[in-house]
Amino acid sequence: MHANYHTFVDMAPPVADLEVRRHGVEYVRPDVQMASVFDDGTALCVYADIDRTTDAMAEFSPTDAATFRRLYDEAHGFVDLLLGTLMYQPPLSVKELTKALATFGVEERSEFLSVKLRRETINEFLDQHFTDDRIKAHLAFHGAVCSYTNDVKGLAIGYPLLVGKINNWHLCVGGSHRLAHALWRDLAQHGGVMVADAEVERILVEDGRAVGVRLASGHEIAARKLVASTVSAEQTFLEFMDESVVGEELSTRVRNDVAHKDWSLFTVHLAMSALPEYTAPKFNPDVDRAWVVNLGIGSTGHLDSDWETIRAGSLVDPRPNAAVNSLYDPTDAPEGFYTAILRQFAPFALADGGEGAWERMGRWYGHRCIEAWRRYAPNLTDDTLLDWEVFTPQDIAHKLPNMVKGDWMMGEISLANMLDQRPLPELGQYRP
Amino acid sequence: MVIDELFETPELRALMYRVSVEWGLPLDTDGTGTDFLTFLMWTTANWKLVYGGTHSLAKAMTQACYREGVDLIENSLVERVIVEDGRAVGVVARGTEYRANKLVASNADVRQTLLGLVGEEHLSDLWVKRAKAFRYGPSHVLGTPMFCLYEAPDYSSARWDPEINRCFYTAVGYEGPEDMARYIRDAYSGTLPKPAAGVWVNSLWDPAQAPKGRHSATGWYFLPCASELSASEWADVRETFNDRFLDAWQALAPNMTRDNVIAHKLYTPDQMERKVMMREGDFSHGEFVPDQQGVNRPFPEASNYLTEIDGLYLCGPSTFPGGGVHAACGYNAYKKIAADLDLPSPVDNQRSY
Ligand SMILES: Cc1cc2nc3c(=O)[nH]c(=O)nc-3n(C[C@H](O)[C@H](O)[C@H](O)COP(=O)(O)OP(=O)(O)OC[C@H]3O[C@@H](n4cnc5c(N)ncnc54)[C@H](O)[C@@H]3O)c2cc1C
Ligand SMILES: Cc1cc2nc3c(=O)[nH]c(=O)nc-3n(C[C@H](O)[C@H](O)[C@H](O)COP(=O)(O)OP(=O)(O)OC[C@H]3O[C@@H](n4cnc5c(N)ncnc54)[C@H](O)[C@@H]3O)c2cc1C
Repeated sequence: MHANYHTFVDMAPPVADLEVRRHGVEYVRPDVQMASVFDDGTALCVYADIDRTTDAMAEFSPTDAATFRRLYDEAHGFVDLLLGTLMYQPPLSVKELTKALATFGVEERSEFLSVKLRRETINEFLDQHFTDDRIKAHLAFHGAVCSYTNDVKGLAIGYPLLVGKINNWHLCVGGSHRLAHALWRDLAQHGGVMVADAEVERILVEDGRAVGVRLASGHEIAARKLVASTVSAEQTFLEFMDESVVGEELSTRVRNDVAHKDWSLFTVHLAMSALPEYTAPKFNPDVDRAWVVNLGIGSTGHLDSDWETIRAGSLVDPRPNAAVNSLYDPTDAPEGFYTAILRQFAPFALADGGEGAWERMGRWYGHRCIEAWRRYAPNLTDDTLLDWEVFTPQDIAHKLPNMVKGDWMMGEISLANMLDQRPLPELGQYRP
Repeated sequence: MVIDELFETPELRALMYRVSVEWGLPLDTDGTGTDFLTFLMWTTANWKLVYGGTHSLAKAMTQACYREGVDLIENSLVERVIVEDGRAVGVVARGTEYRANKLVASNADVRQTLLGLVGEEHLSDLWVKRAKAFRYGPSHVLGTPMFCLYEAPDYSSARWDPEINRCFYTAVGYEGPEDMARYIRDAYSGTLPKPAAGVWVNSLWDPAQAPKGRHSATGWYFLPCASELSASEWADVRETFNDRFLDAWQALAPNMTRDNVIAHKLYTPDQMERKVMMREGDFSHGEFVPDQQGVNRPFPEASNYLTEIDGLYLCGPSTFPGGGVHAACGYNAYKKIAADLDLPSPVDNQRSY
């Protein structure tokens, strides 16, 4: 339903440590990873093969293509370092990070990485290095799909890492739940037990120590060593425990200061009897085989004005992105049929009616997203769309109560909420 | 006939007809009376709901398998059973070959297993004939409507007995035993019956099945076999049948208006056939008639779970005792396998079977 794009495959240590492939996960890395189709009839493709990506960009701007190539090579070279220092160890502070970068001599050794990035937006980063609007739009779009909003100050610091894995997008054959099943199987084979379909209601605390959990059914599970919560700070500290246990200060902080994303995702899931045939293939025929297609965001300004509208609680004229999984996963639909996911950036609560308004707006907005797709792929007539369902930001919050306000990243992605500041400085090292 | 002899209240007879047919005991077939008496009566009032939905049971069984070190290969259609020198030695699933250490057990129905996966060339004439003669439906062909509701149904008859609003399983839309019998005979003869159903509102007992303050209901329609209607006719059924059923429902529970329905869907036999390969949408993977029941299931020569191919067993609902969430087919098949291969018996000393 949600996490369709797995971009850390073979980079994230747990993929190997938990032997997910031995447990049945099959990954496909589509050769045409992503594309943008633009209103002027052109299309830009990003390939698994970075040489082809660079060639495709050169059609738009040879200078930008060369810059992109240097950025990719550099970022890709740093990916291990970045993952090792920034992601797969308890977080540093921004200060420590800045110091480390300075000691490393980043300004001399790197064209793109710089301590300055922590004060810049992705837009600023792109403006400094690139010239072509459409290339910038695609790169900004790519950041946004990874939850890195292009107009947020400080996010430029994480952007090179995103570029370093821009061609590492993988599809989990059979759907992402296959990955969950693999993790489960590993757990069970090592003696663990998953209690499915059970709502945790309380964390049991004795003498200041978490000693177990109580389920909504009343059933209690005692902890041998510890309780680890994967859900939101709000649930964990406000709902699962009383303020007398958590302390007034932390309760107040969690209630008031945990930051959430200011936009969410609106999704349309489709079953189809045809693959999209874009009007852009005259320019680049590979666009018909792109896994994920940005439909018409043609400049960073486009995105900026969309964010403004969305933050004000309004719906934008949809410019969704379309992912056709069946292009690369024949098990996703019967032969001759296809599945697709349209995803549109959207507010969680609408200015007019709050999040509840999605109940009446969802279907209508879904229609509009489909119409937007059709503008670029006119062959997707009603006859070819066998069925479709929407999954609104409100649905996200209903189905996954840990995604407060439809926050699919479970916490704002901003410099102030990164590293050891996430979700709050006092919780930044994984325990209060 | 047994029902008519034992019970005189028309309402009770209607209900017994319905339950009887749900459990695969056709009204008009000789010999089903015994099953009614021996099998059906004791399951009455033992109906249970799996918290979280029936897939919780599948998950629990999956976890039990994982813990025993079993590998489940998902998302892979078995295309072929590999037979070498008259022995089943493995399977091919989505292009990959898996070799069997000891045996192959097939949960697919007997026809699919023998004719589809093994192939006639490995079978004797008798077994080919028997497999071809095996029939699906109409005994266990259902449609499942799903309704997302604001309010749970509030029946007019609650004035008579308020418990009706908290009843697990409610038959809706039948005027009496004759009406019920006609309905069932329609479905069995390939005609779309008038909309009526057994319905249940799981969210009354299991809050996990609907958001707070909302409800979810599902039910069963008896419907014709998948092949009785064309694809477009089934599409039409999916479009219209729930709506027509709602009229019947509203007549009995006035709050079941269109406005009370947030969303609804109907899952039809042709879809079941495609999705889980229940041929004809028959959940017992084979018609319930005397010549395919008991020791005749799926056919006499195959009734002890072993096929004529050495090492190939049947363990799905086309074997005795048939469909339903009881695991008896697999359990019995394992007993036979355990005896043949000298494996531990599943019978523990607390239990005699
Ligand atoms: C629409 C959408 C699209 C996305 N696309 C992508 C993508 O393409 N790529 C990507 O990398 N990421 C994507 N994400 C983000 C990704 O899904 C999440 O970051 C990821 O699932 C988080 O994993 P998790 O195990 O921490 O939490 P979750 O996957 O959210 O799992 C938490 C679980 O806890 C359960 N839970 C909550 N409260 C309780 C309780 N009280 N008791 C018991 N259980 C509880 C929830 O029901 C849920 O099953 C997307 C998210 C959404 C919503
Ligand atoms: C609408 C409906 C309502 C029902 N209600 C009830 C009820 O309330 N109570 C009750 O007890 N029973 C009920 N049943 C019956 C019950 O669901 C079935 O009898 C039961 O699921 C059979 O279990 P099984 O595991 O043997 O087979 P199935 O559940 O049919 O599972 C067989 C699996 O094998 C897969 N498969 C088939 N062919 C292949 C192949 N070649 N390769 C790989 N995989 C394959 C299928 O996709 C499927 O997942 C109902 C059935 C239906 C259809």
